[in-house]
Amino acid sequence: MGEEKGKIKICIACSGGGHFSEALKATEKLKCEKYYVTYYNSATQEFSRKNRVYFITHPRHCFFILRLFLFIRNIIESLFVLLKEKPDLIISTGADVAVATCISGKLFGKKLIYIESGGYVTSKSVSGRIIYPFADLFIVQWEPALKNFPRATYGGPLF
Amino acid sequence: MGTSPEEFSKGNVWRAFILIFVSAGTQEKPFNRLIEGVDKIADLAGERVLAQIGYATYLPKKCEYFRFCSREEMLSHINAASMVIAQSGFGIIGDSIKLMKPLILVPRELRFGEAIDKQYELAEYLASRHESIICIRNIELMAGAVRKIRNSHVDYNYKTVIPDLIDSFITQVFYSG
Repeated sequence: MGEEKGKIKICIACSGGGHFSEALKATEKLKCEKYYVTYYNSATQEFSRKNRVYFITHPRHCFFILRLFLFIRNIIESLFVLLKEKPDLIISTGADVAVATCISGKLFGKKLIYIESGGYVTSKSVSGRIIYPFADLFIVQWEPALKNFPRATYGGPLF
Repeated sequence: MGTSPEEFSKGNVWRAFILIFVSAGTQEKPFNRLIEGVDKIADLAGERVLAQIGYATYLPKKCEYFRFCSREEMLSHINAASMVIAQSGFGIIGDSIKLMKPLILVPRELRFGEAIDKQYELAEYLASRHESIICIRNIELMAGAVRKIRNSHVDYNYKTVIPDLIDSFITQVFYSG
């Protein structure tokens, strides 16, 4: 079974900080072909030496017009990577950088697993809120988060 | 273990083996409130205090400190400590819980420009569940928290099934029928 699973391709899309280490802990044992979509920082740069990583624009918090511009760039780059790689499954732990990959992936008929970041217990993250209606599997790390996302599955913290 | 002879000569034999480890994390915004707060109580604590101060611009006067270290070193500092005082970051929380350490969490606050995301939610949730985790949002409460947590009972037992959930999703969607 493990052998056979090697045939599918997985896109792991998330921000470069805590979200990234959560995503790694969730997926490190998967034997499938994997590639990563994130933004550039020292940790992700280090990781990219041994793994296939695409760096895309981070729509960071800033002046509205500039943020809009960064978002548009992020969407174009996300689409470009998606069409080039054609993954079967997208796994995301969220934040703004990954939203475009998740939504465009769904539009192109890919499967989507979203894991709400462990920092959210009683409130919802913005990306979780956006992606919840689309996700094929939506996982939360804390029981109280099930109140916010009733269709979610409880998975326990990715420590 | 890694105790240098100098430490023994200072008459700090007992101190060298009891340690409070402080971590401000790697976020680019300085978290001076935590470092100052710990520095204030460092001589009252009666233990050696070692602080990872990150981008803090306040430099401690009464405790040992360094800015950053590798993940392995981080784990060995946590492991050596009798308690951890830290920003409420998911990484340090997970590591301290795995190593069964009492934990004082000081969330970075948006209103003080210390954070880009609110941190108190997880800290308050964990504090409500465990005697050995305290969340303080007023730094003046630090000394009391250290006293209170010192002999607390540690009862962490967390497991994640997320890798299994993903694995069975893949099997179900891509390899059944």
